[in-house]
Amino acid sequence: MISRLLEIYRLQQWSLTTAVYLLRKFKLSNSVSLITIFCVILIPVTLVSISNSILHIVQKETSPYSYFIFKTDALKKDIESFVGIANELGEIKVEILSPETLKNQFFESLGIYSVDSALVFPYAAQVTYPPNIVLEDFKSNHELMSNRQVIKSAESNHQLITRARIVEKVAIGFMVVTLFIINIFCTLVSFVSSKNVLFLYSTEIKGLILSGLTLNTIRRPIILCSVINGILLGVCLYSASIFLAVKSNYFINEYLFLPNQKLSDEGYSESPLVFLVLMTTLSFILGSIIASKQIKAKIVIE
Amino acid sequence: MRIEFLNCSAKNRTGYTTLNGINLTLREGSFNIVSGDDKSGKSLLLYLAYGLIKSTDGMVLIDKQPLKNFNNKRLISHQRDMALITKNPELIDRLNVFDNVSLPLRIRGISQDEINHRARAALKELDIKHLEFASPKNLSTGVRQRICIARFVALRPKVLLINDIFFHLNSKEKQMIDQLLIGLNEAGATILLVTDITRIHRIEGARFLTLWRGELSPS
Repeated sequence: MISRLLEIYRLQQWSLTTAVYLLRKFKLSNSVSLITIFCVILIPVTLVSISNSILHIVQKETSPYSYFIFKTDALKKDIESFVGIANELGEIKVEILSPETLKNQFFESLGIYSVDSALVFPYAAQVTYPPNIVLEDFKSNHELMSNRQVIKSAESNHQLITRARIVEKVAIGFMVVTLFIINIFCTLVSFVSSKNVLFLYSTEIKGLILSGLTLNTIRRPIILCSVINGILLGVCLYSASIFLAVKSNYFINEYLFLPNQKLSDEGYSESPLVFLVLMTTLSFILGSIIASKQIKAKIVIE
Repeated sequence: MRIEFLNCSAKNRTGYTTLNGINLTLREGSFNIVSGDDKSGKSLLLYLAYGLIKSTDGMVLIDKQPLKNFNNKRLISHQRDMALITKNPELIDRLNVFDNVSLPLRIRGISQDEINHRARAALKELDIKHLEFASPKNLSTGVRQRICIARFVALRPKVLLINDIFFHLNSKEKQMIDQLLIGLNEAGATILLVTDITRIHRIEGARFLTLWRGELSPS
């Protein structure tokens, strides 16, 4: 039992020592590949962050709403009946604006703050819908309420919301595609650099096989190198994103690579770092595993 | 450990070298020398016994168990009971001589005291103790070969599969290795040594066989 534990410990120790040796021996090619991938990935990552900012604006700043102007002769009980019907339509927030409030809002929107006007304003209602409402529901609810006898005119931002939803879909699609490209790129770079390292490392491989190491164990240092490289790259990318966020005076927790604004709101601000590091690490490991599997067939003793 | 080749046929990756229906039994504690021409299949015989390649026909039995039925874990354990010594000395140049000799012991989970004792004894036996901390890449091929042999002397394997190790050795070194192999055999190790027919090597008490174009016959 102790011998088995000692064997496992020694194999781990050997793997780590060899991984560090390989990283130090091939530090120039390793650094060049890391810097290349970092510089190349930074461009799509910045585009992704811009998309995310747009997404943030779309999600936060555009909530669906309708304005209803009541007829001037509308009675109080008609308005109460309208509110009652609106409240039955789901999570809808109805705010009744008195003629005085409406008059003030109207002149404020014109930039006039002190006015003594004789204009008579009717009652109005501002209806706010939940942000995630289905567009068809939004449209049908608006039409249902605007068809009431008591309503003189009605307006909604339905068209703006429709366009915002399209922008949201495009932004998410762009992010998914870019992250996919980052994955493929990391895998390819890892594959090529692992093949180079394995080619030079192959002078040792025969000696290691003859010493009793299995191919799985021999591959481990290469995979460890990829893990270290992947973590380095992930941390560099995240640091760069924070730098950009600071430069653009953007709240760091909201400057995310992914559309997880909800997670950020709930306080999980570290999730993008973990995700990005995991993603690059896994891509690097995948590339090195593919490379080491291919070289397996070429290892022949004499 | 008893190794049996039953009607064994094999070919290498190029298909150039083949073994045809070999029948050979290596009894436990026996010393066997197989000589043959270039590309006669000598190395294939060793690789079959080690489990590096599989026979195309027939089977290899290890203590009456078919080698081809071994799972990965059992195969690793089987290979760890053996030592395969190649014609060209394969060492890890970034490690010093002592670390090269002690590496197989380290990965088998042997205690550090035992490693120190065994590795130093093996280096002394091969007359390279003074090179303990030297880097192998600066040493001659003959010395490198002795380091390889020391690696397996320290390991004390049940079976020694030796592939023409005398190629790089001078006459004094050959004599030293002869005595060493006889000693290991007397201690109970099964030995299969393959060598080129032009460098045929007579060792007292050994069984001699000749491999000619993939077929085995007594010398």
